[in-house]
Amino acid sequence: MFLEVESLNEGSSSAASLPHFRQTRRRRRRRRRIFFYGPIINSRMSTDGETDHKTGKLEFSLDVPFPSSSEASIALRSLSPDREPRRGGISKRLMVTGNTLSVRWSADEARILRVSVNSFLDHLSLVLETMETFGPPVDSGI
Amino acid sequence: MTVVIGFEGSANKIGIGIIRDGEVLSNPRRTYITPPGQGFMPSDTARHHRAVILTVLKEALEQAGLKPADIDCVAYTKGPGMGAPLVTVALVARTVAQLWGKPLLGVNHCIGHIEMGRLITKANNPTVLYVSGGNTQVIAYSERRYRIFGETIDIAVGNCLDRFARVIKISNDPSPGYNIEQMAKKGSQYVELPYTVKGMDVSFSGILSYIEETVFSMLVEITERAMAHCGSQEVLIVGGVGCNLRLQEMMGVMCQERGAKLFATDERFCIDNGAMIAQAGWEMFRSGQVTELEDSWITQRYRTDEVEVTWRD
Repeated sequence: MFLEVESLNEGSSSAASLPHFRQTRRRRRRRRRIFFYGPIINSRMSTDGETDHKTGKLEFSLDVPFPSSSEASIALRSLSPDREPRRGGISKRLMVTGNTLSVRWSADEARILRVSVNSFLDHLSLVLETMETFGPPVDSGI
Repeated sequence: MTVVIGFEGSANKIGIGIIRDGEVLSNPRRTYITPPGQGFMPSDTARHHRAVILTVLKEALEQAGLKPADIDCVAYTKGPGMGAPLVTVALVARTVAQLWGKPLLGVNHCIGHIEMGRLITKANNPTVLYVSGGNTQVIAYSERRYRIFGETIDIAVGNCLDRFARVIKISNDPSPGYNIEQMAKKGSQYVELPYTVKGMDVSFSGILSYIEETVFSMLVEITERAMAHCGSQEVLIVGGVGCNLRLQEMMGVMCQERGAKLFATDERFCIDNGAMIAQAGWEMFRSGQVTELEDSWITQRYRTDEVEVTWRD
């Protein structure tokens, strides 16, 4: 039960720094396996990256489908408390809509964005594996 | 009956322990050991913890013979320590707390050591010497706070010994401090080196080629000073460096001279472990403390005296 995360969508905006991002990931040759709890529905994590030309900031978005909204909320509440290690130059927002956990980044530099996104994906992967190993959640109205 | 599970991973040890009313039901632990001459870096340490944490969690439950439903509270190390490993452990603790529908408790790592020391040794109200790779503090309890009487003004004594071991490439297996101790037993020559005590505090940096005698003497001196201030007749040594028998011996001599009692625990409990977090969590939970998920962020800096000790008078 795993899904490979696609790298940035083809056809996303061609800010000079984005190809660098993609190149670096290829160079590292890391395959990211994300374990989903429950049967695989024919849905995929989707990502998008672009530069906001008004502010000059780089933006990245990630949408992760879960089997239920309670599980998406569990993931949200596990992943949101810790602050970014590097306070300046990056901000991140997490929210749940329906069954989907959405993350929105805004960063000054591609390198900072890359570190934060990679780190988040590692953390998400751990949370998902924990949910798969010790889930499903008990019905206690948490 | 209160059952608490504790998650600890602030340095290179990852441990998960379960305590039921003062009884340690399980306390499995793994250590990330680097080759001789190398210390452990935060991202590598976090990766090590990530790889084993779920296995260790399963072991903790199996060895205790418990199911998640039997747990009353999930305790984890909020800080102090290294950021990346702390986050790795906190993520799992938060997730299982939600999956199992149990309250969460963020525990101060140093207080974990103190409460485990008090549980195991049954010391009543000791002056505490907390010595490890990350911390060196002399602590006394007073009016709902563990007051820091004296501490290192630069690096921890364990950090000092670890760096010394790195320079002369002593093995890190099982720990650099243990291997220094074994080598020191065979030594007979005392080399006079800078001895740096400043009032209640000590300093260990700047001299990385000293041996145990000097360092431990400094610690005994500041502990004695704190005991004199508090009028205390008990000493409890906690933290990984507390395993060192020479330190215990030297502290014992000082205690005997003052007519005081010395307490220490063995390597199962003075080295970082999950059960000590569970024990501190047990005390906190029983006195009514709980950590809300939004407040459960980890922190690399968390002083022992920041915590309100609601479970002691």
